Amino acid sequence: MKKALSLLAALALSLSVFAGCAASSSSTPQGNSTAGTSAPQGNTKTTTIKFWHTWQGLEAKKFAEVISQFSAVRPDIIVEVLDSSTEEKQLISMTSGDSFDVGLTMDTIANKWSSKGALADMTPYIEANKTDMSNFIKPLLEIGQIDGKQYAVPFTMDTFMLLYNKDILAQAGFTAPPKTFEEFSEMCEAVTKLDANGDYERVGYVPSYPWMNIPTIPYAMGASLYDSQTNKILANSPEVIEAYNVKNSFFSGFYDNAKMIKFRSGLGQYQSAENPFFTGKVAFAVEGEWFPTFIKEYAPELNWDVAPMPVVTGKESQSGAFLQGGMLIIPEASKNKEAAYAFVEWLTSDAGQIPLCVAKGNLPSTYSGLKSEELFNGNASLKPFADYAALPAAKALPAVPFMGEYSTALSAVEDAMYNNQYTPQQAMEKVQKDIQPLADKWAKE
Amino acid sequence: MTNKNILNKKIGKHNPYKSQARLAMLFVAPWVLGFLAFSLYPIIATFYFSFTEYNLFSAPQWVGFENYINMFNDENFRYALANSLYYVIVGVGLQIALSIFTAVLLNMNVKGKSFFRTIYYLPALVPPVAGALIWVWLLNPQYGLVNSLLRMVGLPEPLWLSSAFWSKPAIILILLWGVGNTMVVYLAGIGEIPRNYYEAIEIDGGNAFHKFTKITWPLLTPITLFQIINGIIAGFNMFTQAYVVSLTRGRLAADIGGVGNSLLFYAPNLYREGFTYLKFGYASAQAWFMLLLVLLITFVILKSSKKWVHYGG
Repeated sequence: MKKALSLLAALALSLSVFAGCAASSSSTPQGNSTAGTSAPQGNTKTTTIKFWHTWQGLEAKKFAEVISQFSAVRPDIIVEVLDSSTEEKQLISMTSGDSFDVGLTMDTIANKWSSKGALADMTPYIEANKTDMSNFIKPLLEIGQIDGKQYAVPFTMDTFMLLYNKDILAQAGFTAPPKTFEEFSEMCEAVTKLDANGDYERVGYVPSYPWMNIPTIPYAMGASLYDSQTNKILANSPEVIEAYNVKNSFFSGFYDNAKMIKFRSGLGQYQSAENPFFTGKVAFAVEGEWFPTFIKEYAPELNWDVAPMPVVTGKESQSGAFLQGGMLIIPEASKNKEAAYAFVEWLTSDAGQIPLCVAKGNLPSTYSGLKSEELFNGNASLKPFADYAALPAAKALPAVPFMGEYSTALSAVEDAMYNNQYTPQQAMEKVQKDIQPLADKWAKE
Repeated sequence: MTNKNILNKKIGKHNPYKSQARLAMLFVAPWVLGFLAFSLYPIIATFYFSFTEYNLFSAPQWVGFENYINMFNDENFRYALANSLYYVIVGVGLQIALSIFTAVLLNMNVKGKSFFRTIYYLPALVPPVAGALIWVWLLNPQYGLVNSLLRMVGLPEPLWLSSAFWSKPAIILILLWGVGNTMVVYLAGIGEIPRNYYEAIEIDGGNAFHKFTKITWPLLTPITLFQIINGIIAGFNMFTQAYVVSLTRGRLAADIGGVGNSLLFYAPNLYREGFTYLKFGYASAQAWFMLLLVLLITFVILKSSKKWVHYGG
């Protein structure tokens, strides 16, 4: 009996992992706020839609202000906004029978969800409303497409450039930012300083801070991660391996590997005055268009400037920005798809995007938005990013449903590479071996 | 006449026990209903899903044993299994050793005994997320308190969570910090051991070592058995610490493996397969594999327990 009881107890306890999954579904979303609550006019029938996005705090507040403008355009649609929503919350909502109607999510997630039938095909609404889809940044728009149908629409966009500390470069005798990766490497070594213990006090650039920015350096070097014609992963192409050689050079060769790992671990919090670019612990940062807004807030005295990413000599025309879009989705489970699309269309128009981009410091996801005077008049620091994003070789992440797995694999080997577990070549061969089967499987579906 | 009948006869129509039993059932009902809906049903459902390809949005497709076979060709799964086994074997072993050791020390008649007991138990009260966050900073290679102390005494300073070699020992260190829960059970167990057993050893000329090996350890073996089984189950289910540690390294929720997958544990990997990659069939198969594995390990330990567990009087 004792044994039976113990076994039963073991069974019950080990099952708690299932219960853990169930428990996460009961988490209560926080941060409710409502926008567009204008009273319905006369006898007009109103539709209430739920919009869930991932932004928080001040950004969410600015977003709510922009959304409130929608009620003037469509008083018959009331938008209930829920901020700080996560991927998990959205997933659970979509399967719960009481789904939100419009969601903002990441590019890799939008593609995954649309490939599984979770999202509504917006094509009929796009056709009915005659929305001009050619105005959307093409590589981002493609992320939302499957077999010519549109399941997600890009909304706001990020791109990354090279920010540099002018004072540090001037002390080391440089008057202009690097144009090539050789110059970049040389400048990084020149500004490197040791402290009394022989540890790094300052280095040029740390490629793993604040996170693994996977495609920016490869794209700047003219590499691609995927060939849509042949459905081949290009992780082990010479160009991608060379890009990872460049990344790895900041943790090896001139640099002491263990000391670099130690230095990286001590770098301060990203969105704070302790950010190493603000404190002068690094001379360069590869950062997005929102970062100048951070500088104003946390380090207004910083003497900085921004430049395009370095290039590889002879491959200048292939060098392009990495474009990362937020994606607006309508779940298949939404009961108000028509009203939801009306909101999506308004939000992605210049009237919806520009005021938000000005306030939050983001780029719009449309070609007209990238040229908008209103955008630059409102936030001049966005101009260089908009120009860089408009270069013809700019690319987004590959529009494939296994991009989540692909990017996780890339960032995992990048981390391992900095820890000397793999050479760049080995790291990329491993990703190729792990991810190509997913591409093959997808082709068969 | 059975006891039950006697009871019924005595109490008659207005049975206070019966109404109390109803009330008791009412109070128990939320848990039972919750268990049926949120534990038992998912468990049965996952058994079915484990034989299907299921992404939450389209109907499950029957794939037979494919998910179970694929597990062994999946490198992430192998990492997760190996890391969890490491955590369970080394972590639980050390946890038990340290718990007994501390419990024996705290049972000694020294001044401020209750104070020390409280101090050693306190970390067990810290919520796992808060505890993990504290340790991320204590173990920071550059500014962490642990490395500052090691530096002061001239010892090498590991890179802890930033290194594939040291990350698992670091996670185990976090586990050992919260040893209070196990320790307190041992402490209670030691308190139950009659004093005269030790007196007998003293009369026979035995020392402290004999007292421990001949009395304390054998009489604590039922507790040890319980702690081992509990520890193994908790070890395989470990999620919070690994998840928090990965996120504080400034990465996306999907990147939960730590440096070189050295912190990819079973439960977070399973979670990622389901909730990020939408492979709920595959994740269900992994959950069932863990259940069967834990049952098997528990069974083996229970079988072996006849040889080493002593159920006192």
